[in-house]
Amino acid sequence: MIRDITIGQYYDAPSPIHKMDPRTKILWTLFYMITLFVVEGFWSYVVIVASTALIIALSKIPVKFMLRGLKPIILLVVITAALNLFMTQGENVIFSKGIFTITLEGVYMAAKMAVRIILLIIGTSILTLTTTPTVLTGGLEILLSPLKKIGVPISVFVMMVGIALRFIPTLLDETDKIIKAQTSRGADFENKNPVKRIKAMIPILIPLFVSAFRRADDLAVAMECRCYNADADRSSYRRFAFGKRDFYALMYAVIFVIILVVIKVVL
Amino acid sequence: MNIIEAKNLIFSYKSNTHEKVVLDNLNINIEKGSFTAIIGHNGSGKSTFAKHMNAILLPSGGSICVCKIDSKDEERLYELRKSAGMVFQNPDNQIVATIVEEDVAFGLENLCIEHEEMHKRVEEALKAVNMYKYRKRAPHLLSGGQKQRVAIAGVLAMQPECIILDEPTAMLDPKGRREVMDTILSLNKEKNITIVMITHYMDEAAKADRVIVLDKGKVILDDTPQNVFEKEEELLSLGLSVPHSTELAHRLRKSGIKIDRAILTPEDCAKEILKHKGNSYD
Repeated sequence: MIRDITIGQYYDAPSPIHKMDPRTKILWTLFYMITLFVVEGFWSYVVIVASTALIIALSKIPVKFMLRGLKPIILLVVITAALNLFMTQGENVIFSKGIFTITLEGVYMAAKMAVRIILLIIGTSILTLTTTPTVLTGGLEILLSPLKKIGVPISVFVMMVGIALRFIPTLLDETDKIIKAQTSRGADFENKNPVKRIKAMIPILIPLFVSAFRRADDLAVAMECRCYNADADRSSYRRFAFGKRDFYALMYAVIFVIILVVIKVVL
Repeated sequence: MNIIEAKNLIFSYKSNTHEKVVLDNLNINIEKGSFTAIIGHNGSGKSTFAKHMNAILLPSGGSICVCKIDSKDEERLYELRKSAGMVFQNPDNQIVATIVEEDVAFGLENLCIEHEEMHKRVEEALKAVNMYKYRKRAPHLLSGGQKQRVAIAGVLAMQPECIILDEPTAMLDPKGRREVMDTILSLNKEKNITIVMITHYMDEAAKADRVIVLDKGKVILDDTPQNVFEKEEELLSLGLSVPHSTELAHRLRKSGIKIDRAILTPEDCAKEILKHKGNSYD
């Protein structure tokens, strides 16, 4: 059961988006997020939705798979939309009863916020679905490397993220084992009483923490043995290179902006 | 030439009330190209000794030199660790990266090896341990024996003079154990890498050129496997045993069957028994 949780899930497919340099993808996602919150008007959103659809098609990720990722945020979308629907002040009242007033502006606002959140999640999940976590952190390291000059320990941060990713499956396995061991000793994880259920987590968490610390200790020694020094410079096994695809992505971003500007001016 | 030279090596834990001596005046020299097994009961100090060979622990007294580098020499610490690679018991807790080949490259990245050279060495190391076709895999999807071979490749890529293995097979199933043992033996015989292996499997120790028995931080026996495993009573009194075939040969001898040479492997044992029956072993 615990295996179903996929953090930073990656969907392997032979697509040009997968093969793109991670730096391009990270920058594109950032750019996408900014445009999403800057643009106004119906037609601009049509352009963004269309271009998102195009990227999804290029990435060869099944639409079903994409939509499944939206499930956990449905509640958030609904609450945001509802708040905007009822709270927005406006002149064109459509419906009014007691304290509830719905205005045309409210409907507009609600729809816009819902679309924005959904597009935001889809946009960022395209990045994580098409890029393995190691490549992603590698790309981030290079993009953030200017910060090293002002003393931000980027390499250490990236190493930490990498190790965390490496140990997620190991610790999940361990958790599974501990749950089984405690169940066989009579622990009750399915009690209806939420207080009891939370209490039942303690005998899972404590052994898990003990083992995680032991692993951390072992790993630290093993890393030292392999000459790891957090303060020293390291070379990199992985090398990223901008290719044709990245150039196209850049061109696409330019065209994207031009279209949005034209819409803004014309409409 | 000696790769490792321990002179009057002492290591002790001190607390306010008492002092616990773990290594008691050890004098051990390990020759280049040799395969040494260190055996001993729990608490005999064998793992502590292993950690001294890589400057993870520093001696309380005496000294230990690895490739002529004193472990107390902080300036040459990384040089020492590069020369003496270390493989630990738990295969999960020594793999750093999420992809096999990147893990093998970890040590090389730390040594700032240049890009092309790094790829070449990673490939060679993975081929040497027979894991090249798994280079793109995630480590948690490998078996214990495979993970341990990846860990060996990670050390091997750093081109060490000597590899120290601290109970590398203790957490593996019999198949994984055999894979790791075969890898270790081929590195020793074909690449002439000095091996120091700490183990509590006597059958593995029997494959070494030399067996050192530690007890309470002291060297009790230090000889060829044949001579060490001759002394069954002494080993038993230290809480150790002998390889199964050696034990069988001992028992046969006791019951009057004439077996004169020291037996270490099942093959030798079978040969002797067949010889006794007047057949030859093919």
